[in-house]
Amino acid sequence: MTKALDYFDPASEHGDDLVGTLSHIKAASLVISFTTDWRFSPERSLEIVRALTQAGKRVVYAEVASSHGHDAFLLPNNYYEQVFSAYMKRVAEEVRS
Amino acid sequence: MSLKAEFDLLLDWIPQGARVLDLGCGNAELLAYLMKHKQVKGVGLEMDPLSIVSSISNGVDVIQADLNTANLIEMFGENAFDVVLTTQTLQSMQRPDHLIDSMLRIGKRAIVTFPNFGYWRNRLQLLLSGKMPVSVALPYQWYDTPNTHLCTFSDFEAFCQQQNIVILAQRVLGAPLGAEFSPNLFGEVALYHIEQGIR
Repeated sequence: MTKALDYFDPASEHGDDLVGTLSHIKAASLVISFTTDWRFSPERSLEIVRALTQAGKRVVYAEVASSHGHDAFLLPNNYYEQVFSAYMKRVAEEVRS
Repeated sequence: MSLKAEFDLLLDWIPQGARVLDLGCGNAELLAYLMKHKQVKGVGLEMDPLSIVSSISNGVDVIQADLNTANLIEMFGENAFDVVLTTQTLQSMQRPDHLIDSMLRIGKRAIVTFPNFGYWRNRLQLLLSGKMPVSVALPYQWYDTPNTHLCTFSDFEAFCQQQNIVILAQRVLGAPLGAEFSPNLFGEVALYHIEQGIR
């Protein structure tokens, strides 16, 4: 499992081009990273944000300050919940209209 | 003088349906306004968590980043936007010159707004009281101000000339009549529409 995570490379099947890989996405994206996550660092998330932006896709990015490392997303965090909640409300509105 | 007044003054510099980036977008009020009135494809950059949440609620796509350290060219690529904006942010940057350079690389054109340190009331306060000016546009004390790079309209225009930046248009908030005759003395806040000449 750890190895599978380590070797995961979304661009490997698209000529190592992350922009090309993500250009197939039709939805808008929300990317959230946690400052102390070394398993999937904010720098890696920013790579995704950059690629989405350069592929002309809609993206929201938030970087959550946390001292809980990779598992921070499992724990209560006010800012994380606010971002998620605001985004989901927006999705609900877009679906309704 | 309200933000709304600033918004209205720059509205006709925004082409219909343009790709617009707002640096230091706050709660993305301006982008939401431009999305509504000019159907722009808007993106905001902001650092403050509360403002990020408000931006999302306002229906605007926002990216959390620190403008002082973010590499905008790496993030967006050159010529990614029709217009790159920054309102009332330039003067609090560590290197305003670097920011403007990046803006004019990632965007075809840029709009910057900032308070005029050469506004007559500021000059008068410094002259008469011998103290740093404090006003509605500059509401801070010298020790707690984020505005570490204040300039006058003349300073900004000299900078543009030196960097071969073309000033397409300038508009001024303040005393409308006096500002026409001497903007650097009577204008409180300026909006500049700029593009890069030959580098």
